[in-house]
Amino acid sequence: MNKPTKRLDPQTLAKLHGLRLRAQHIVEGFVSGSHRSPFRGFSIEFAEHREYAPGDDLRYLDWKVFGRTDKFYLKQYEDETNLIAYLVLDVSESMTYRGPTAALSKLEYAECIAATMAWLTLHQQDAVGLATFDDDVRTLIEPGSSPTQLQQFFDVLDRTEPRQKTATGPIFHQLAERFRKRGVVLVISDFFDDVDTMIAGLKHFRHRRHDVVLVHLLDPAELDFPFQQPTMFQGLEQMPELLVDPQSLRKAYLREINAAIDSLKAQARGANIDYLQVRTDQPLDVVLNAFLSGRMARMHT
Amino acid sequence: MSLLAVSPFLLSSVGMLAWGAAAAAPILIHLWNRRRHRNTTWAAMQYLIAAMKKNSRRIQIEQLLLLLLRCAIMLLFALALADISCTSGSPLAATASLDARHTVLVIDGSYSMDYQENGSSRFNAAKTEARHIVEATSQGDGYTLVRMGQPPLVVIGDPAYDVGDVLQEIDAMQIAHEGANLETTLAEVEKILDNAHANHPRLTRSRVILFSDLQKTTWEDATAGGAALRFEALAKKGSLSLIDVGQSAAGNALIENVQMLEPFATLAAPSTFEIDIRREGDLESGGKSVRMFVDETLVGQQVIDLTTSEAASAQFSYRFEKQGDHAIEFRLDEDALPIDDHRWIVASAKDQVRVLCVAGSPGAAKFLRFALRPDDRAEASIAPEVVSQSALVEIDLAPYAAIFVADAARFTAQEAGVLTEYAATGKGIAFFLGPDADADNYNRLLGSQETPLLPVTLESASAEGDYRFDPRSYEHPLVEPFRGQQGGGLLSTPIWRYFRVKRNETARTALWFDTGDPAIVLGSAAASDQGEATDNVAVICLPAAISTATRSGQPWSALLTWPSFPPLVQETLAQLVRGESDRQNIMVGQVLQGRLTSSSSAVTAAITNPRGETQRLGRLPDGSWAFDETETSGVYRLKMSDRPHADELFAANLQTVESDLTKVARDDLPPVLFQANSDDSAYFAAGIADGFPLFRILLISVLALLLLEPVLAWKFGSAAL
Repeated sequence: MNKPTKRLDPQTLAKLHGLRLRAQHIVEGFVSGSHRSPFRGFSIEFAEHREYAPGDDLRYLDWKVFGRTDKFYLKQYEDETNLIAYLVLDVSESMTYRGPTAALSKLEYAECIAATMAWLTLHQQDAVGLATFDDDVRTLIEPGSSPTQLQQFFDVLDRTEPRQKTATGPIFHQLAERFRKRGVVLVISDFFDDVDTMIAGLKHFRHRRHDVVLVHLLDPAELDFPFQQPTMFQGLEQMPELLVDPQSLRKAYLREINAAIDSLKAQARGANIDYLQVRTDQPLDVVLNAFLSGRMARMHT
Repeated sequence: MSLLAVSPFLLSSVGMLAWGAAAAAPILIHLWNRRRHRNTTWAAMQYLIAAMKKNSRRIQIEQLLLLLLRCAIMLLFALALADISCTSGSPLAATASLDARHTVLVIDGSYSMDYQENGSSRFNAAKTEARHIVEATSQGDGYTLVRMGQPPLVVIGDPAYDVGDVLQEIDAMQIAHEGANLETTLAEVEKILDNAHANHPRLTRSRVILFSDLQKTTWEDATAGGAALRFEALAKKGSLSLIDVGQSAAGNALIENVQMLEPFATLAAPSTFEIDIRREGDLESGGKSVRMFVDETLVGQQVIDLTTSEAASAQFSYRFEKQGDHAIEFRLDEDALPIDDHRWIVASAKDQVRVLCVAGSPGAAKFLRFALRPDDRAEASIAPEVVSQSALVEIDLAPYAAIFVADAARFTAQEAGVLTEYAATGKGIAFFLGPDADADNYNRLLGSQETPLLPVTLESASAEGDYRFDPRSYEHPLVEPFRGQQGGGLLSTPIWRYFRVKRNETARTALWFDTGDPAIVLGSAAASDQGEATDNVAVICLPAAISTATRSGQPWSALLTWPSFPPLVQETLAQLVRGESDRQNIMVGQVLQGRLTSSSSAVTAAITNPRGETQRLGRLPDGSWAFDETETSGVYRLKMSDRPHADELFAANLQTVESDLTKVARDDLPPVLFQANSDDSAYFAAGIADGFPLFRILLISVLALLLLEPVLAWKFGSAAL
């Protein structure tokens, strides 16, 4: 894993205005470090051999051919350049939360991840689509690989107005129906909903043979509950307000949220869905590295 | 301190309960904190609500518990400040064991306690015993300290709880050079116990410990009269015990008295001092050396044999060489009780005693002058000076030791004022009443309530007759020298008329006429103010001149030509100037007093006691000063700022009754003193032990709660309210 750079720290990104600028900043910083496409090698359809050239990844060497011919050939796959990445972004009101120590809200952080993923995917000549949702599917950009696709992404994300959220399960069902071509579905959300309903929706993606990755975004305050003084918590998404002595309730709260996270994680694993928990105070490259190394490990198992 | 009884509790300081209002502080802080909470939006609300639903009851109970604990801390502290105690008989009292004891330490301070043995005095032994008792104290015990004396001295009146303070006071105690009055001391102890009962309810037990040598003078009336009643009263309020620090069969020699035989000391003639020495018990050696010191210089020594008799006298003669006050000390060989082996006398030596004779009419003082100075030798000790009555207001009277007014008919207000002021300084005035004396004028100007100079009220001249003096039993010192001296002619003095007077209540008659009327009356010019002041005004109810102002031409008396006249005048003078000497020689405990020589308030006076401690004297409104801290025998030295080189000296001597070291027998002591030595716990004071203190239990509870509070707050995860 690459060492986190200050350049990709949320504190630094927060100082940059505009999603494009932030995405460019992330991509430049990240790509210069890894030279790696995020979705390369997704396909499993073998196409042909190609002679080895210096700089090629040795993992794709066909050792059987080398044994027979004593020459280096690389395996080439049919769909390698036809990958479709579906970015599913939660833009509900709960995603706007930014804790006292975080530099970016969960939504801003999610947009950064989505934009970066899109940028890197298009850079590899692959297709990428975008869906945003709150209480309904707000936006759906069909997958495409043209350079204008990215600008369309930025326009949609910049215009996003968070709204309340009801149940995410039906929305995932709805999206599963609409994502016709098989691809990788990257769901970026805080998943503050009923886990069973959500998993049921996500399983629909798996049923359509999509590869599903959950990026569970959480603010540090939501995970640590660092409040000391009596606080009036004003609930987002039509939740009531509650006056609480945080110190007396901290343990109980953490027990509840960790139970929910563990449940989501366990059920995702059961459904063969990748799960990645991300704190919004983490540098972006750490998150991307964790994601990609996870993907690579998954492909080689 | 205010008391409040709310059965079964007794609150000693009700006012302190106001601190209980502080119990509202945790509640107010709690409410205030709830009011000033911060607001924040929150996304993960469902988890918070779920946590709240499952834990709200537990959190409420924990917070309530903490709140109650914090309020309880303040309430218990307020109750402890209010000095709460529960009355006996209540269940709380039955379980309480943290009671405290009040000990009254009574140390005999009479000078017999100065008796030395093995290098230490009885008084020091008593202090050491008292220290041991205080050092063995329990936490919370209170101590009061009294020095038995005449009068008793209350050193610590309100119970002291600091052992260090009590020990410091015990160490600082000094013996009094006087006797002790058991009854008044016990009365003082009773007052202390009553006060402690009223103001210190936590002191549930009381005991009185007396430290004494059981010297007879102090203790002989312990089983009778007032002292016995006091002992009975004290026994009801606490336990009594006695620690005997006296030794038995102790012999002692002492100087009982010193006096100067002459009425005044002059440089013209030697002064004679007579000392009386007494022996109490058996002495190891009969011969005792007595030394005389004048101004700390040894001037004479005699050996007195006390083997055969219990008392002896000796005379020392000394001629003073300088005018002024001299301190004369007589020292006996020191024995085990050194305090009574010294005695002092102060003599004011003058070149000559100047006496002013005021002639009421020309030649009226001729015989008087002769009587004061029978011969014209230059070295005569008395120097009379005759002036007319009109000169009285013109001359400075301060140098004169006495004034004799001879046959003044009447006085002006100014003259009366001068004489009154002169007499107020303690100096003497004698009035001879002539036939022209205006009784009304005398009574009004010199005998009124405003100017009570005369010890008599003048009436009128007696009828003509044949009268004689009647000295009765020669009891008065003025006529005492005539006892057995028929040749003196006192009884045979012919008198045909005299001035009838009526003696005032405070005055004393020295000589009578055979009619029963007073012939010579003496009184104090300031008797009403100074109580025991010596007589310094004399009225002689006969003329000082041969008067013929009667129809028959018969003189009033032949006294002036009679041999009794010179000694009568001289003895009158001696009586009048004796006041000055008496003022300078007092007994321990009496008041020293005098007048400042200048009326200026800038003039200050300071007196140094025999211990070398100097104290500044305050000026009283009439220009006089008084000093009553004369509890040490020895010489007191008065310095006035306007006379830096002329110290005025005073001598304070012992009342020697304490020198008899005989002890009283145990049978002569009250039995209550021997009922309470072994087990102090058995001596609960019936009248006092009516409550058990709870303040310490409360304070311990407060401490425990203070320790518990942060633990619970941490445990509950709530440091803030």
